[in-house]
Amino acid sequence: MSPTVDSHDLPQELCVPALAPIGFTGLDTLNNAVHRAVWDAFSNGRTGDRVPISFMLLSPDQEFPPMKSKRNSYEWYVPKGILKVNWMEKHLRKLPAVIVIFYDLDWDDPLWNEKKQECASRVQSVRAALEGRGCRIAVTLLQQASAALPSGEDVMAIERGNALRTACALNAKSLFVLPHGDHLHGYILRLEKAFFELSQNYYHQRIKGVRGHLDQLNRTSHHYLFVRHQFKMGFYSELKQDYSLAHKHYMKAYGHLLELRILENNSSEIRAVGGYINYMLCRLMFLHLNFYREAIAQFRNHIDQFRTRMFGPRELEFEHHAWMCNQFGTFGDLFDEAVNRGLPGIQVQHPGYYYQQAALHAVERKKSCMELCKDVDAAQVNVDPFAGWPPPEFYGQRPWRVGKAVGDPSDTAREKEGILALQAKEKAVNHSSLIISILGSAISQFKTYNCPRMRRHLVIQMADEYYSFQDYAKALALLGHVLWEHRSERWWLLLTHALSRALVCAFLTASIQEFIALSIEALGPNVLLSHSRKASIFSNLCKVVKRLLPELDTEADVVPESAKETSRALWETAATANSVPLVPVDMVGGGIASLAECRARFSSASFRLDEQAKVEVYVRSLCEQRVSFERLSVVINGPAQGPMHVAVAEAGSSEDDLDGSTNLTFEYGEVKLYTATFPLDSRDIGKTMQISVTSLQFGRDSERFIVLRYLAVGAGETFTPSTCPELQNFRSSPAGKIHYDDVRPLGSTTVLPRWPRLLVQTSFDWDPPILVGEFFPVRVELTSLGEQRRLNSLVLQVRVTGDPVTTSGIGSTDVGKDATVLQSQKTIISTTPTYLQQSNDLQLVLISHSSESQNRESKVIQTEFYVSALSPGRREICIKALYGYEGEGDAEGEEAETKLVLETLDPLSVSVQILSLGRLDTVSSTLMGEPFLLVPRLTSHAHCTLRITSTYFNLAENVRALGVGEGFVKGNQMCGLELGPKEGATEALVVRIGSGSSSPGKEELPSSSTMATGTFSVCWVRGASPTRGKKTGRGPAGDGSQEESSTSSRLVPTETSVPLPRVRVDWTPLLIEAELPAHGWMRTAMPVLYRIHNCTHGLLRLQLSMEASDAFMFAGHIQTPLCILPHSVDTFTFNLYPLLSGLVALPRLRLSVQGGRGGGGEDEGGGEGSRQGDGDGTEFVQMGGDGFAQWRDGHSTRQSHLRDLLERSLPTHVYIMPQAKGKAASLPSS
Amino acid sequence: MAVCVAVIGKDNSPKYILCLNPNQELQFHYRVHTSLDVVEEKLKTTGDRDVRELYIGQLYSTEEHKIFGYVTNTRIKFIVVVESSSTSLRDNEVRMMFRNLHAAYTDVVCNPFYIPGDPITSKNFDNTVRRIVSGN
Repeated sequence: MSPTVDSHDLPQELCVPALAPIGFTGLDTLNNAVHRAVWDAFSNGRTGDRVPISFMLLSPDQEFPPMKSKRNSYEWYVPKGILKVNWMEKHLRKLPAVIVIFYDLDWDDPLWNEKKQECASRVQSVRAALEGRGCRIAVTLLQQASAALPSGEDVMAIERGNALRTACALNAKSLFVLPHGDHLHGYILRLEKAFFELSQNYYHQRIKGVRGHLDQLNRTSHHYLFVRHQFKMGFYSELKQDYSLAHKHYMKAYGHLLELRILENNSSEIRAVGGYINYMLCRLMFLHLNFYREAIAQFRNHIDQFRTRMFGPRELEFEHHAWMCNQFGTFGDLFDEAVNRGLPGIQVQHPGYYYQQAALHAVERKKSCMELCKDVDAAQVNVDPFAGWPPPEFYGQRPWRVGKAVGDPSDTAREKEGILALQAKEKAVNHSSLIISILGSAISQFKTYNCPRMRRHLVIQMADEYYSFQDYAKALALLGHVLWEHRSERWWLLLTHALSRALVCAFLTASIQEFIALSIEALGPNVLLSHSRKASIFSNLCKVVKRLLPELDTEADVVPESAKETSRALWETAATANSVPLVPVDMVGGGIASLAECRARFSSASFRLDEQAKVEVYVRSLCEQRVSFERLSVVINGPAQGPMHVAVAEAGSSEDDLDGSTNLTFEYGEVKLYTATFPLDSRDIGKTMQISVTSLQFGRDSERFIVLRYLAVGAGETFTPSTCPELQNFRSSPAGKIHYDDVRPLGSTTVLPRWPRLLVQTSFDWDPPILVGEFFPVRVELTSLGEQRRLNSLVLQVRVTGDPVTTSGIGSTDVGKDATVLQSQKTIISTTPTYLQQSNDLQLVLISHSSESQNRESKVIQTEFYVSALSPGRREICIKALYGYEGEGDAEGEEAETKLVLETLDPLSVSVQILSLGRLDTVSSTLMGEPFLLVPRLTSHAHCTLRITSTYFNLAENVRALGVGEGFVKGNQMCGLELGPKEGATEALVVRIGSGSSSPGKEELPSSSTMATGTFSVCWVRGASPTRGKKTGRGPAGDGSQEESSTSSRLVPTETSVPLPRVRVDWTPLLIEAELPAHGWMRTAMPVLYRIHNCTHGLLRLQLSMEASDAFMFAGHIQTPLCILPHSVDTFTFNLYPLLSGLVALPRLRLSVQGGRGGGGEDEGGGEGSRQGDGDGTEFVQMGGDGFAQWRDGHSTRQSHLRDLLERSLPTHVYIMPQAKGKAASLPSS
Repeated sequence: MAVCVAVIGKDNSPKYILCLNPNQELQFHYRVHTSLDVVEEKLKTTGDRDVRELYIGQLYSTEEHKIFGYVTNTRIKFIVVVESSSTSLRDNEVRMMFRNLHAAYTDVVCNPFYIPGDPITSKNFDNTVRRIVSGN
């Protein structure tokens, strides 16, 4: 439907751009090709860069509008109207500003004179036709291009031109020459410009003329003429393309117009002319002057001026709205055109608003028309009511006032007739299509300017209009777009409004799908319809489902009877039609919360393969009526299986289903929980399954049913508002019911492998922790968990996962240090308690595919492995059983695993001391050949008893154990000892470095060196402990006695080795040994033996003396010189007779270096010897030979060495026991 | 002074709308709803706007009404519709109206029984708004 032409539209001549018309005569475009080309060049391609004029082709006998007779005086002249209808038309189309006479004439034309005369006569005839109008006349000679010479040079041209001008009575600027040839277009452009100048000239003249009239006007009777003259000047200025001048005149005209007194007779005229002038003004400002703000302000002012005034009779009120609509619409068009030309519109100021207002007024117009024209006979509508009436002479003049001035009285009957005719005409107007087309413009504008909500509002208005136009399908389609958005923004009132309208549309068009969807939505709690209306909607819904005819709900808007009839017929066909009974309704998209809402969730975030996955569906009724559903199902998406339908609940076909588990009938607000299970697929292991859709079916399969589809998570939380879902927990739910709002969605679940069918357990025979170095047995027990099938394969993997990275400093003795050096791997897992297999993982094939093992049948499989830790710390060991059953795919590598965490302790710490034999002092150095004690001291750090099975020294070369031998020496003190926690034990071994006197002459050692003495090793096993047999791990407690035997047989001693300390060995020329009993008895003689070894290769001369002591009497040399042969021993025996008991000091043996001459016998002490030392030293050298070669120090040094030697070698005290009573004192036997 | 006051949530759903003339409720709902376009646009170009200035001024005006807006830091929008004919209303008064409205809204939110995002049903708030609207 196209909008019908409206009497209120702007006249055509107003809307076209005002261009000065230029008339061409003398062009025979039909027969003459040259003329045709010239005309085409002028008239075609009139783009913006060309001069703004228009051309008209005049016939040779063209007649021009006759000139009115000039009035001498305007004094008594009363104008009958403001603007004449034909005036603008005349100046745009009929009366050219310039008339150009084309004439083919070359300067050297042979018939020059004749042609000159003919041309002159043509000019004359045109001039005559114009009858004194001031139109400019110009002559253009069409000439051969070659003939044309540059003007000014061609003497003949100048001469003949002048002659022609004179003949035609033209002025100098009105004769043109157009050579038609190569550069026609260029000539044309230049000619155009010249014509345009002429036309400007002409209009200037006209304006002057009009201005002349102005002076003669008076203010009493010529108000109209003020407006008219200003308008004329404005229009001429516009034709002249002087826009600012035009603007000025139009403004003045508008101002004069507003001053006019509005009477009933002229109101329509003033309004019309006001609209026209305003249009001209706005067009100028928008399109030519770029005064956008001013244009808008002018328009606002214009509307304010005219909006509130009542124009014309009440019976024609619609005219006012039509006019307003037109004002807004045309302004919108102008604005839009300005925007197209580069004016930037903004969101709050753009053409859309004006279109919107226009639409509003159009609606008002329609309303007014419906009210005022309801009595008009419909038969009259199609005939032109003004067929016999004289056409109005002035714009906006009423037909019944044609030819009358304002003051003239109206013919009442004629006026009444006229009003009726106007009403009839109005009734014929298709208002709806008008409104819709304006709304369409507005909608597109609002869309451009980013106003989605305004656009929606307009769409609803448009739908309303379609509705009233009875195009219900279109209205429904439009509303459908809007509903979604209102719903998502939760503007319930607006939604209700649109929904209610859409529902009626759906009813009237009998579109089942929409009707059902809308009905369902209308039943929701958010829709603000009355209870009774909702009840009727619900009953309608039930009727549709049962294929009965629904009834239009009573509270809906008034609907024409014809539409009702049509819809009834449509519903009848739909009810009987064999259409698909299923009607799906998506309950997504902003959450249509209606009838019922569903939340489906998995009961767990993961399921084992051998379990049944469980789905929980919570359903809450939102319908105020009692509602029953037929079926509830869930679609679950699994990666392998694809979408899978799981029926959750179905209304029992039997009526006696009373337990309610599948009862799908709900009261208002009732919440029910349904569950369903379904099997899982092994291909989905490790993947995620999702609930995609929950469906509720309403209505029976046999009739027509509705499936409410609830898209689950993934489509987001469509149910809870977009604000924090956490806050929903604060919502109070009815006590004792399922809290629907608290139901957390869990839309996806992970499929895990089935529970292991084997149980892996570990047990220990020994108490953990592990001791460093030992092989700790771990028993693994694999128990079948009720699986009947035989195992096909079984592999046990043992792996150390958590090795301590750094060796901790627990008991940081030599043991720890050495251990770090020794091992690159700190943990060894092995099947045997030996170091043969040194790796930290293990793979035990217990059952292979091929083997026919007994194990296959048994319920429990045991195996064992050993863990040996080489450093203390915590270890994690992962034990994994990979297995498969007969009759199942190999791909299904099931596994069961367990983890062990084992601490490791250093069982022993060993510290070794070196003691001097004489005084049992700790020494750091020893003398060559001197015996000393190696004392390893063990301390147990273990948590259990350790039994020492053996100890041994592995002595270094040159080290001899006294009385045992060299090399590998077994210790014997600790053997078989049991060490409890924190207990210690000590071993001792007397050794000497170097052979001393036994291998003379082979001492190649330097005088002082540090040397290793060897290693000490302890072999131990775990001893019996009180907590023996205690289990860890998950295994059941085993039989204790059995284990006792089995473990003791496995006890392999663990060897812990430590290096013996290094010792500094000094060379010494002589060694002294004392041999005395461990203790003496009072008054019982005891023998004391001193041995003095000469370790040199030379003769050794010494002075020996024995100091007297109060505690002893003694027999033997008190003072004697010694002379010891190389590598020989001198022995001195003393018999001591103790006089005091207790720990008493022994008489001190003293040695001093003897001089070469044997003198100095009286020299007893160091003091004496030192005084005569110098001389002796040289003698030693001379006499001592090579034996003293290494002892070439001075005498005093030698003396102090001797003293040190004696001090460290000889005991100072001895313990004397008191004499037993009754035992006679006895003299020493020797 | 005002003829309609609306509180709009941050998701652009209405939380509270008061129309002095209940017959025009639907019309005012539309008016407030469409003015959200302008609010959204203004918030989008918030770059050079002073964030402490919550009043966003006149949104647009029609023949009959002027519409003013105010957006809190939590994107709660207050819309006030004033009749175009009441020219005596100064900008300052509109600002004051919004400030009072904001204070009243804060009181509502402070109520522990109010769940943020729900429509406001507090009578106290309603009375306060009616007082603000009537200009007392």
